[in-house]
Amino acid sequence: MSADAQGSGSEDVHKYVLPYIMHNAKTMQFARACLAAISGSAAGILGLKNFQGFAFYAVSWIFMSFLLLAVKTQFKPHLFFKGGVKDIFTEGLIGGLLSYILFHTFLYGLVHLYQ
Amino acid sequence: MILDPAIRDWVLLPIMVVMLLVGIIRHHISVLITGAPKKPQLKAVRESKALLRGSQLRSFRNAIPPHAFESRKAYLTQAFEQGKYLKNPNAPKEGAPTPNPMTDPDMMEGMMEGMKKQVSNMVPQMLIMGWINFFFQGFVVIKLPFPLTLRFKSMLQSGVDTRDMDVTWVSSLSWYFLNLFAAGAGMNDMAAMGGVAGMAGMAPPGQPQDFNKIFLAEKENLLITSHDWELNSIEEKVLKKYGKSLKSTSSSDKIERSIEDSPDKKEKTVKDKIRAAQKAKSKRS
Amino acid sequence: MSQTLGRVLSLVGIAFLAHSAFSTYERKLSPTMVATSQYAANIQSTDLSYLNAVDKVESGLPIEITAECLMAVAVALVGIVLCSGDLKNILMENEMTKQTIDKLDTAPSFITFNHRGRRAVSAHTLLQRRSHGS
Repeated sequence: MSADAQGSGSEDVHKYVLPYIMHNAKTMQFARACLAAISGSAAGILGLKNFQGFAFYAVSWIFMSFLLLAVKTQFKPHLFFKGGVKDIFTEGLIGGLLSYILFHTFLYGLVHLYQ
Repeated sequence: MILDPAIRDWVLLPIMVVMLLVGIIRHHISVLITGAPKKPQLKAVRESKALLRGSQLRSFRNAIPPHAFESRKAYLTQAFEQGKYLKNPNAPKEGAPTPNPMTDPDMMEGMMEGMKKQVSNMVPQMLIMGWINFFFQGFVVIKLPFPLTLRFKSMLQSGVDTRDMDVTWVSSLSWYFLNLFAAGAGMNDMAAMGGVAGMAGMAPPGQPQDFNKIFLAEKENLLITSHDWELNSIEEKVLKKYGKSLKSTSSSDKIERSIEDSPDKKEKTVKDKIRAAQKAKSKRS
Repeated sequence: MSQTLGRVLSLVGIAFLAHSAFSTYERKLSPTMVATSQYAANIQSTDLSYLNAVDKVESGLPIEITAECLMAVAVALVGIVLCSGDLKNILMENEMTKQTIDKLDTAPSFITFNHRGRRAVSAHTLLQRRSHGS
């Protein structure tokens, strides 16, 4: 309503519903946390080493993002995210990587390291 | 190098399980101690709403008739100047130092909230770290499945002083840190936000705003706003809008959106001036 | 419906993942592998952990376990995607189409407390009080 502070932030207020943005971000975060845990475990079980592990993360990330794009947004990402496709494919990539490394290391240790 | 399975059963898994459980417990405790969100004070709400009223009057000034605008302007400027809407009008006016945040119960509560959050973040982490240091110091727990440069050695093998060991072996304390960071990065529904991240993410309790000053500034703003009622020359504007202007306008873009607030209009006129100047220049050359 | 399906799928995927983890672990322990490995002749008597320590164990997994693991990941990811909640359309236009004029009119910005109703009501109550008193 305050017209004197017409920045990009207040533009967003008129264009998007902020609670829904939060809700969508939360949903995506849940999906990505699960992705990191599951694909990390799988990489650990498969005993991937060195850069194979990161490659597996990239592959599963792309697979997951494509699934989300197809199932959740029906290929219309701009209806659900401010940044459109870019948001689906890049957001949370690094944060997920940490969880992925933890699970990768953990399962790798459990399955391949200890006898 | 082989690790004893007993290490897995009695060091690796306990650390992980304890971290997980502590994260869950902390989440529930923080839900418990935050309690209900505190009610905003009536006067504080009035203070901010009065400010909003001023800015709304300024932005929609052209939608009301001149006498209405004038009376509103007069009333609001007077009210702002006298501090009619201030939370506590008897407080020392400008020039006095900002009040000590400790004396304001509202501020005090805000600070307590922050303290509570920080304590509930820090204490369990310190406890777990002490526990690991006490029981599991010097254990090599696991191996990373990817190579790292030598710089990570101090990070990954804290508590183990072996110079020749491969960098990828992880000590118990570093396993704890790995858990902590990964948990902070999004697991446990953000419940186990790490101590470090918690400290960085803590917003400082907001600076006490001097509403008297803001009101005075708003008063100034109100005083300098000019009023130009939109119905004044509405016939011409409507004609212009639909391209049926009586006078032939030289620039075509004047037709569109003539019903706009004045800053936009001013911009347009400046643009027109520049355009006219450029035209004149091109004609000359 | 799809949420339940998603939960079931992700659980099944995780179960298969766990199974593949377990079978990988067991396979490392099983003596048959040592017997079939090319180093079997030299170190029949020695411990498997020795083998591991000198990195002589073949690290390749049989194709069954790898396939099981990858399939489990795919199934679990599909399940996760299905069972995470629906996304909401964030565009304001879409939200505005659901609004009615009644909702907008009752917004707090349009409430006015300083209206003639107060006077009317107070006069009414005064009258009532008088009539009751007399």
